[in-house]
Amino acid sequence: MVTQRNSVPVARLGDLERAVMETLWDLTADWDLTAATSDGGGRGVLRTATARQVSDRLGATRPLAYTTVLTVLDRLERKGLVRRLREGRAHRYAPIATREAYAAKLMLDALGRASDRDAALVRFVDAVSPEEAEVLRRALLGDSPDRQESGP
Amino acid sequence: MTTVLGLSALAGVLVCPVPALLARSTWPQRAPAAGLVLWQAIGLASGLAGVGAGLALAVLPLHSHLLPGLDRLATQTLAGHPLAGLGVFNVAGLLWAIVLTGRLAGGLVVATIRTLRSRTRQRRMIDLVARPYPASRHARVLDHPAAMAYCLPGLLRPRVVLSAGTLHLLDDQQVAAVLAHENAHTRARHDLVVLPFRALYSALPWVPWVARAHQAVSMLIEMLADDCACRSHQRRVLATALVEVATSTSAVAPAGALSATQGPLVARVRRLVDPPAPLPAWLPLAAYLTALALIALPTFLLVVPLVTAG
Repeated sequence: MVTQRNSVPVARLGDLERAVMETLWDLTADWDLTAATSDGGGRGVLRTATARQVSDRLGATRPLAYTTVLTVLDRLERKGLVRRLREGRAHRYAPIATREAYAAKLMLDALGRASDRDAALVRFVDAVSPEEAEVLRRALLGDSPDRQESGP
Repeated sequence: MTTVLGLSALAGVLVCPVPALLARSTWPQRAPAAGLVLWQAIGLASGLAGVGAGLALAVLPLHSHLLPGLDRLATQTLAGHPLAGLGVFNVAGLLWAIVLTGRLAGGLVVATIRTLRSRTRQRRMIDLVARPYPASRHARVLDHPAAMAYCLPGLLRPRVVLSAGTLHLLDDQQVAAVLAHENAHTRARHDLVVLPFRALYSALPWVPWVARAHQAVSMLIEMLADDCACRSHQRRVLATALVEVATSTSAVAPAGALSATQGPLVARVRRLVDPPAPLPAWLPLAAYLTALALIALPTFLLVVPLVTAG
């Protein structure tokens, strides 16, 4: 489990959502394989945490009102990132997927294997085949056999 | 009739030999901006000429001039008999104009919506999952071992995304050069240049010149960003970063259709390592003038009647 503790001031709502999501991920880091639900798809479900737990954990590094945490969790649920489960009178929250799963999904999108038909992102370079890699390394050394030296 | 023939000939020339010639020539690599403008003009002019030829053919029996002819067509359509006086060829021309317009405009709208939606979704995820990169305001670091760098252009909140693997692979200078390249993309909105060509490619993937144009334009915007980054960073540093990132992910690369020695990446590396002599000043100027003429010609043919018989 890689945990990034960053010290960016919580200023915008996007930052708040990120902070709450990170805390929720940290609190629910361990897979609970015994509590598999019908929609868990056999992968088991993540552990849950209450808004109070999130608020307390967050409060250790930056004080946030409990109601703010509730609001942010609400927004995250509407965005489909968090699942809310009723437990007695309280609500418990669980991330829909792990941080690693999201990172892997984003990388897959970026590598263009998921959808190559939209122009959403502009890649620095495309991945290359092994033989093109060899040509690239030679080009870096200034070896261009198919071109005559013309410049000074 | 002259209008129909003129527009058809123009469309034919712009669709067939011109893109092939431009794709094969190497001068755009030495003046990417001029090359891009010329590609845009070719795309726009061929669309105008293609649609215009169909329309001019359609209204030929109604009026010898396009605009009054279209006016008559509209009038009789409103009156309830749209095809009155039109022969088989005229109806075919009308259908062609309608289908082509729908295809082009529809493709652009669909591509724009799809792109904006996908970009918003990805930026939301990036902001949630990736951590900020202190050295650059819009940069984010995605925790993944594979090397990858890309940007999500946007008006208000562009994002430059580096993977942790990239930071591990490259030294500080190289990372700075990559960031300069990506920031050039987001600042100059190069994505807006590519978007119509990507849309065209989605709408008409079987037209050979469309694929060529898309490929050439994609490469030229990369070269433009390379040049921009090289104003503040060493060419060799950027070239090394480029090769490092490209080759580190070779295990996941799909089999490319491009031959290895002519791929756009090799061209980029070569012109970074061994910069070609600058073009004589008249050549980019000539390219811009040609672009202007290309757009003016079909417009002229459509609006100004060449046949003055009534």
